[in-house]
Amino acid sequence: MARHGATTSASGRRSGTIEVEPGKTVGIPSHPDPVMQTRGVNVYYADKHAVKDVTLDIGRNEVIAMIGPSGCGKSTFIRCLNRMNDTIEIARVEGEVTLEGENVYDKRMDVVQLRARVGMVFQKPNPFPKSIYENVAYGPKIHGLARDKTELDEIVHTSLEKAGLLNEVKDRMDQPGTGLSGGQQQRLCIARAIAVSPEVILMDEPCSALDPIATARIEDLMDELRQNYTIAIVTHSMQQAARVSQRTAYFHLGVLVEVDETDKIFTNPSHKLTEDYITGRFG
Amino acid sequence: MSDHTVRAYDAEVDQLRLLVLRMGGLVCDQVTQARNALRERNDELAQLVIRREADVNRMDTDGEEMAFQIIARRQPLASDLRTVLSLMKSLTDLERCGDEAKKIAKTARKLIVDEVDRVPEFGRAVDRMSELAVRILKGVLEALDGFDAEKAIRMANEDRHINWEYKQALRLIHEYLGKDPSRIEHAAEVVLVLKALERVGDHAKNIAKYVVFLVQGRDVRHVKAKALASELERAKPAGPES
Repeated sequence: MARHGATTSASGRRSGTIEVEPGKTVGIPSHPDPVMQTRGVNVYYADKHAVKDVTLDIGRNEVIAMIGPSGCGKSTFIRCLNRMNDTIEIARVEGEVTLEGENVYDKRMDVVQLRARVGMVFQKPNPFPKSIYENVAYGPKIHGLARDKTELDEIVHTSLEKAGLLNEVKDRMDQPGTGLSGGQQQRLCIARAIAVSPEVILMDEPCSALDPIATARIEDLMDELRQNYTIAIVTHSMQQAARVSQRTAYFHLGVLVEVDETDKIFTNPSHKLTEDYITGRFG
Repeated sequence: MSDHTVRAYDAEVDQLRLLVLRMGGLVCDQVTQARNALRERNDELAQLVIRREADVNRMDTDGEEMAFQIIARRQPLASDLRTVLSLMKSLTDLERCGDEAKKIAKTARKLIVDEVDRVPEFGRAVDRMSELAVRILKGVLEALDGFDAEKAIRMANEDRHINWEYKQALRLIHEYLGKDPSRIEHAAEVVLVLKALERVGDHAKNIAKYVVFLVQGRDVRHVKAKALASELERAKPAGPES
């Protein structure tokens, strides 16, 4: 826009304090083939209202990126999707979250089962202090997904292969997962999530502790994984969101301000706050 | 619009924008001076225009280098990305306008050296077209400076007047040659000048469309200027009822 410092943006919108209204998301929050749906989701940490009235569909086989400044509620929001917020005592979730139409917060929902169906990869790779093999075999074992050792081996191999790690570790499966490089550990965590055949994989800044090459490998992997899974990723890197996702959601002060095709968000967003954030004018 | 958090980014984009505007100013002057050289049979002026073409080219390469640096270092997005791309494309069109001015100056030199007699009707047609071309180019540059998509569309729509003048001038030349075929060589040179001015109008129209892309984020390169102008007219609020 270029008339930097001028009072009018390129789109002719006046600058100034922009009000964000919960529940008034701009763009396309719906999806024709949703795997998960949230309706009017609110999250509170004690008195703090962290996520405000968020309605969003997560589409099948899409990568959806969540962006926004620190503290905007994007991580809190994705943690609602597999009830990771249950582990925080002061957290309270209101509204509806469904997975293939099933209410995720239903009393009858088995949370362990839910977290297998909606897996999670964290910012810092967190392999178990076990061997590479055991890291991946753990989930299928506790969920009873393999009838015998041959089937378990098959699952472990396939998962490592899908995570693009098999060739690097096939000769040292019995060595500790924690001995791998950061990027390899993160791919091991992805293999561990895949091993239990999830429908959705949540990734909370999965590359922020990785170097550019390891990051590129994860991004490349996400594109492959999309064929079989749905991915919701929280990232602070605009370029990463632009590269890996088909839709991007912008959060601000707990409000889902805008969600739209990634191509549109990064070339011509509709909301001024989105524009200001992605062009580095925010704050 | 607030500034970027990284202030150097603002400075870099502003520097590129100012270079494009400066280059635009120089190109307008090049067209005007080339026309003056032709009208006044001023060989020195024609040579000046030809020499200054190197300045236009240098501004083009400098501007592209600046744009490359911004893209490589800042990875612009959204309106910033549209700004850098629009400015970069404007550089190319302005550089071609510079080429057209040089063509006119070269033709002027040829007519001066060959001591070709003037045909006043031809001169008047060239005058009308060059005035229009420079006026439109200046208007488009103002629209670029002010991020004014409406003005850009109005200016793009003005290009049809240049096209009309061009057709009229060609008809005039045909008629003249019918009466006096001995002036065929002179007429051919004049047609080159007229064509160059018509191209300046086209380049100005292109830049006007980049302004629309910059401001509104929509690609209108292949939309007729007339259709854009009608759309603008329809979007205007109705005036007070009498």
